[in-house]
Amino acid sequence: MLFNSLEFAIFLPIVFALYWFAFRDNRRGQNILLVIASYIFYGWWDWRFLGLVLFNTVFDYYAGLLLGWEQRKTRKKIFMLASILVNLGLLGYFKYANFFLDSFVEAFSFFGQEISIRSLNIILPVGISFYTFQSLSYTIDIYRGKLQPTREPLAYAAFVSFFPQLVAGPIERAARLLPQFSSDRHFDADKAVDGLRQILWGLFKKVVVADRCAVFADLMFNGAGEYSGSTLALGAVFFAFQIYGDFSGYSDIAIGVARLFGFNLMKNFAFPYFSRDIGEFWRRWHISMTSWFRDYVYIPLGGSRKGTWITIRNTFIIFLVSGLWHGANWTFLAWGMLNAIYFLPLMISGRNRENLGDIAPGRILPSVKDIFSIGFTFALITFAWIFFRAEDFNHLSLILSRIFSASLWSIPMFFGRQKAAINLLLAGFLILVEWLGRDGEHGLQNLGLTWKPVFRWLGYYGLIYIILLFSESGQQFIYFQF
Amino acid sequence: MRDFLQNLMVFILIPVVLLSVVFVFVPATPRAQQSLLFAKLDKDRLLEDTPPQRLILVGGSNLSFGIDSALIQKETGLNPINTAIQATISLIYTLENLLPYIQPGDIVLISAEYSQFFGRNVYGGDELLRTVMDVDRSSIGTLDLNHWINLLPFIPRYSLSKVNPKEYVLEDKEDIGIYERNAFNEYGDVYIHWAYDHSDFSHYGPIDGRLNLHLFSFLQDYEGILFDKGASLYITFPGIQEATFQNMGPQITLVEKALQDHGFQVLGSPERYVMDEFLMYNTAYHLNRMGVVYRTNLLIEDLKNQVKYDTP
Repeated sequence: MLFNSLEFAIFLPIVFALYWFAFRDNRRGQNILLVIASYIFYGWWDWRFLGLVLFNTVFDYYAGLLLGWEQRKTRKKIFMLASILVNLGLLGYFKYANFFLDSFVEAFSFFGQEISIRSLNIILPVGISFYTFQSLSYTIDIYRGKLQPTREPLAYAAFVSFFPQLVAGPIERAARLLPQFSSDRHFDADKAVDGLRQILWGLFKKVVVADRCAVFADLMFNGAGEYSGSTLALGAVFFAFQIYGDFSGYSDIAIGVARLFGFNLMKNFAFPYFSRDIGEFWRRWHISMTSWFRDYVYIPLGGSRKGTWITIRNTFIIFLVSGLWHGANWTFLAWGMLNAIYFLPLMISGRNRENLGDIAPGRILPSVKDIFSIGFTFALITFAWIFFRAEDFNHLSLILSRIFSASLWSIPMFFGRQKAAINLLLAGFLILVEWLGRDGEHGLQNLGLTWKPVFRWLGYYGLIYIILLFSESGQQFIYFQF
Repeated sequence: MRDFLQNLMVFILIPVVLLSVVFVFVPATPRAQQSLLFAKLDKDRLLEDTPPQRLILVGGSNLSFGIDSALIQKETGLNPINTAIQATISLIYTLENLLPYIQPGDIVLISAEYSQFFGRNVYGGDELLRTVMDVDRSSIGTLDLNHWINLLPFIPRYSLSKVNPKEYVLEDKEDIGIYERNAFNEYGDVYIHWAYDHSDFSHYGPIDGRLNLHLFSFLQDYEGILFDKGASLYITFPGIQEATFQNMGPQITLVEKALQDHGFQVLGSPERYVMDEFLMYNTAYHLNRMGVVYRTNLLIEDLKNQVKYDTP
């Protein structure tokens, strides 16, 4: 079920009404409802994969109990490793089996050895990377002694399958979200209203900006051989807005929906395109994933505490793993590698944590230095998105060869330039609103709060008008494939 | 909670009431009146006025952008009426709309895009909503619940389009657009694009969804009604771009088999109507002038070989 679908528009009010009216002050009933609703939500795509979510839930629930009960260190370690192996094994099978098989065959063929291995016919379950990582955080945190295992299987099942964030995050930590399922929820009107605002803003980002930009990004990248360097560079800009609108829009809707049910999910995007350097970008982009890798990969490997070379190694590892997390393709690895290369000079010079504070605090406009830094960072990130978007290395080299040619300085030529200009204006509107609302949790949180209600409502109606009039239908959320 | 729900209701009801008023009472905008959907009025007139023996072509844009009816008339002596406009107008709606115009001896020939046989596609989309609201409100009664379920998501956007200032400003231009009412000739074929070159487009992927068995039983009932009126029903296949045909292979096989299993009179085969890239115009179902002539000649052969009609 997609957030921007009629099915979801019917599903959400029903679940909301049952949750707050039929099961009011009944935590167990609310959790049962959430589990059932989440399974319906997930099964809407492909009911066969419900078994996978169920297995994941049951396995990690009992793994958690064993980890909490067992006192011997060695055994504890075995249980934790078993949990990691099973979780990553399933993820590896569904997501990476064909990638490694094909790469294996290609490697042999490179050395003149022809071997024949048939690719497996595997369908990737929606959101598997998200719920696997969320579930893993539970057992690892218990092993580390940061969390006590829950003895409420229902609460745990609801935590793993919670429908707002099941298929595309934010990847929640058990220590943060699980206790919310084990405590009573009371309706908070202010929280619900803000949740609705966040849903509205997320919808705008997804169905207006992302989906409209997707049309041109697809047009230009799919026909890369026919377009000039300048057109392809513009295509990369469209893709930058597409992926931001798509993923942050989804996160906004997910967080907003969760708030309607009284839950607080973690912030996943903190206006990343206003970042002044790459380090800041990665603290603002897909925060739940980057912090997951930081806590469960980077720091256990020694982080930045064991000297320069180990830090460089760890930086490359974390970026490469991030790349691979996004998909089974060498281009994702190249994207991760490129980001590591971007990040390295900052880290070596000790300037990677220079921009920790707010951007242009207390001012309406950024300084000239900020404008330059933000523009430069956006250019680097947009260039890296080309690696992310390319189908394979051949496609990537085609795009890059076109971009780094004299045609980069020509006027972009493609069909539908008027529509493209409207899309850039809509993307500009997104940037403007997020700039004005950058001190909030989301673009609309603080915007217009001091206005008279009638003007505020007119503003929301205006946004709904734009969504209905300019929405582009038929696009899936990009991050479902991860 | 009460205040929250009250405010939410008011917030939702204000635009819903306003848009409902717009939806029901505001007529088609000047820009909408130029669209190809209004060609339905001209095609209905053709159904009224064209003398027997008539060949009535029913389907989506594979027909409107893929047939030269004058050629059929010249080669067969039949009087063709191309009723096709766009696939999302709904095959079922188009056939229901056709019934009052049927005369004894009419040959109804359906050529539907393959996607119409799957899922809920045959119940229409945005274009059907615009047809029944803007073009011909008297036909609204032919829609059933299935149609309305499909149309519901398009209502807000459709209503909002009527308060979009752009809809009331007509562009000052000399050329006729290919998706305008005036793009059709006296038989109901789009002919404006015959002067244009092939333009780039991407192929379609496999079709989602299950075969719509309700459509097949509807067609069987429809065939019976035509028989009672002294008319006959035939089904043929759309001209389709080769790459798209390959992608839709398994689904196309299912359609062909289901048509045979249900005992319909089928002209040609899907493979026969596969088109090379140079015959295509701007989508996987739209043909350029060469494609139109090629496909029409194939159809004429099939008509001559398989359909009984009075030769003049």
